[in-house]
Amino acid sequence: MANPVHRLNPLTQVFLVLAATIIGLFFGPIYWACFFLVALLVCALSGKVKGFLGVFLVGVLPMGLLMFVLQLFFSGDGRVLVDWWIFEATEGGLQNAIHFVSRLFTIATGVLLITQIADLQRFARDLEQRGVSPRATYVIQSTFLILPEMQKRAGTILDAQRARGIETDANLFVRAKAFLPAVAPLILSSLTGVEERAMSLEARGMTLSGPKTSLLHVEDSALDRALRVLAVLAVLAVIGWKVWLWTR
Amino acid sequence: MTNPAVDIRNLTFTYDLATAPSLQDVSLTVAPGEFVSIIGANGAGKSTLCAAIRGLVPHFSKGELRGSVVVAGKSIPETPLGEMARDVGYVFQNPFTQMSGVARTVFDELAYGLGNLGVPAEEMRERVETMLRDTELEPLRDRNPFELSGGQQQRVALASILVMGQPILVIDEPTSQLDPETTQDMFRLIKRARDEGRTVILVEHKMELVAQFSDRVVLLQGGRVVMQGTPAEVFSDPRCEKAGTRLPESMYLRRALAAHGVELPPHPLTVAQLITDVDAYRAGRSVASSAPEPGAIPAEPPASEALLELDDITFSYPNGVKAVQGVSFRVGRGESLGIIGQNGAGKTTAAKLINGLLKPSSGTVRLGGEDTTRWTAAQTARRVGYVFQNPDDQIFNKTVASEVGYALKRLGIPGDEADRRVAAALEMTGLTEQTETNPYDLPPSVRKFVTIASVIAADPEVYILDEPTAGQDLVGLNRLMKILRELQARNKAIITITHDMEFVSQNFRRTIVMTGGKVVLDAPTDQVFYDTKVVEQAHVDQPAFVELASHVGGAPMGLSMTRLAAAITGGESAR
Repeated sequence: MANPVHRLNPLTQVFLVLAATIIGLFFGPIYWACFFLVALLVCALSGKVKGFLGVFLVGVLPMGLLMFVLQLFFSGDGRVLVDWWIFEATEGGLQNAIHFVSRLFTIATGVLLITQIADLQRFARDLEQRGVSPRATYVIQSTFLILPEMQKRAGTILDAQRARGIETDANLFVRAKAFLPAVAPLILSSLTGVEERAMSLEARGMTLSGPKTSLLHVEDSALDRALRVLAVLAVLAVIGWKVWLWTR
Repeated sequence: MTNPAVDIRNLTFTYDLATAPSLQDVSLTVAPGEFVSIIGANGAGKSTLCAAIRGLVPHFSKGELRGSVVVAGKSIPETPLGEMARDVGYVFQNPFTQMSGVARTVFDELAYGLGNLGVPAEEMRERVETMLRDTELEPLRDRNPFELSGGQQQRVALASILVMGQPILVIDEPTSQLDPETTQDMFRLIKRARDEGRTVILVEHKMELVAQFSDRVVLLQGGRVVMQGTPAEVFSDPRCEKAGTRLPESMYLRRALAAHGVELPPHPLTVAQLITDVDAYRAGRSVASSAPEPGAIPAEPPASEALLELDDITFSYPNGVKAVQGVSFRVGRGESLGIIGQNGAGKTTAAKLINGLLKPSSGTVRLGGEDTTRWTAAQTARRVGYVFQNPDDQIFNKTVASEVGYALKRLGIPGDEADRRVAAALEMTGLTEQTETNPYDLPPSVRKFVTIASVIAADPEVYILDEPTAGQDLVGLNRLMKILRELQARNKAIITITHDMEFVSQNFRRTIVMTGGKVVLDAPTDQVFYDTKVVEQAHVDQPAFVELASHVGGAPMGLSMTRLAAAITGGESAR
């Protein structure tokens, strides 16, 4: 809880990021660049720059570049900027590409930012404090915690199949043939695992009636409430402004 | 008179879709503070009985329930499942699935159940702190539960239940995946709970522990209570073995000594009792104890041809942890050996290096003189078969036969030849009658034999078995020993990784002891367990025989019953 962003109520964090993302959809690349810099700063305050930039550079940027090229050469019309073989880049195509990619980057920045700064346990606890059923918050939390474990288990199963002579390391065709032996035991054992886990959660009183308590209490301050209202107002204002522009 | 903690009358339960009841006319009363163990062969109904006490049967696993089950004064069929969490704590067999999935630290994991009970935060903190101290889990308090070893997870699972403070504890095979030291840790905690006045209902295959801790033992067979009584009454009754359960090792030892002319009082439930009986016997015959002498019985001559050679193998995981360091050993054709050591000693990593699932960071693995480093795991697998600890890691076919034959089909073995091999493997593993059964309709202990059969069908030269005895009853153990003998007779090399020291001492001439990724001893089994320094260093147990023989002392006797009997009698009546 070292920095002011982390101190905010998780729902406020979601509202702010969501508002910034929605507003970004109405603006161009300059807005995205500003949003990106703010996101980078927030991540820096939380010590999450590496995670944020890593996913952006490896996952989002290449996809954005691909989309940019496709939009540039295969959409829009107007003055021809580049004409090479069967490819033709037009002024309209360039505008489409810039708009499309800046929206893509805005959405990606919002998603990346929230995944880097949000604390799942606080978020789930906050939802419970707001009356959401602990069963529902359990599903959200456990999905994120158990997924990496499923990955590990998939590795073990793949090992078990390789150990009985099933090739998994060669070309695509060979890998495709190994798909069933790798996936079927994972699904079957996951089903058994879900049943066992449900029983052990029963043993820990998950469905016990009566009020539940927690070591964690998530504050929802006046500042949080004000920021959420501001976020909603900002979105409504931008939408209103855009509607006014269109209908003028 | 106080009300019983558990009062079951004429309970018959049939799971939905099952053709026969899993429990039949079971009546059982457990007094508050009593420690009751339920024993019986696999499929006898032990886990179903435990589930009925907690209400998982019939609320969670549906079926038809007749008779009455009253626990902590509440009728189970009429009480909502969740409500019993205040009265009954339940510890399951699988450590992994007992982690809640929502706690990022061990501390939070212990607090999870208390939160569900509505315990105020301050009290919750205090209770978790106390439990962490009592269970010696403090060093793990900030660790992610999913990143712990199986043994650590099981201790956390038990602590997570103990902290909830329910008066009744149901504990279903808690140690089947644990090494001897962690098993002792678990039982220390269970005993402590009993000493605090809680009622304990335990299912466990390790009969020494059952005999040591139980006030009463209930024997189930085919879903019925065959008998119940004190451990001495039950284990001395011939019906016990007939029902397919093992006896405490001390009783087998006493029986073997009797066959060699050493008549001791019947039914020693623990090795400590047997030692007392032997001392009394010797005192009556004026046979003096003597300190064990160094030295050992000459080992078997080394196998003539090395089939498998590990030469100075080292392996580090990507996180830098050195799992195996400078390991070298050879295994000949027809040779069988055990690898022992506590969880995390590097046993499984070494096995994966042998069958090519992992590639050594340095050193070489040779099979029949050929370096296997460049082979794919699948290529190595054709010559090195590996039976994984958890059969569910590989089973996915609809019938036992198709599961066993799957790899053969993939390897391009012609149909007739594949069918012949599958039939032979099923016969060898005792699965012929289950040929067309869905493997998931078989109990896990039998599913293990399905995976053994699929390796046998592939006919490799080297077999690696990872914890083959876990969860096996007497029938399963005997079946396993028969398979090992047959494979050895076919000149196969067999490497078995296990925590079962009795199994090692009774089945393998050679044993490798690993600790911290290194081989600390590679010697004939009849010498290994006498090396107390190594036994201590590797955190393994001495088999009952060695414990007794070390106490008796005298000339080295290895694992020879004749010599032990001679040492006890002073050499008079040994046959």
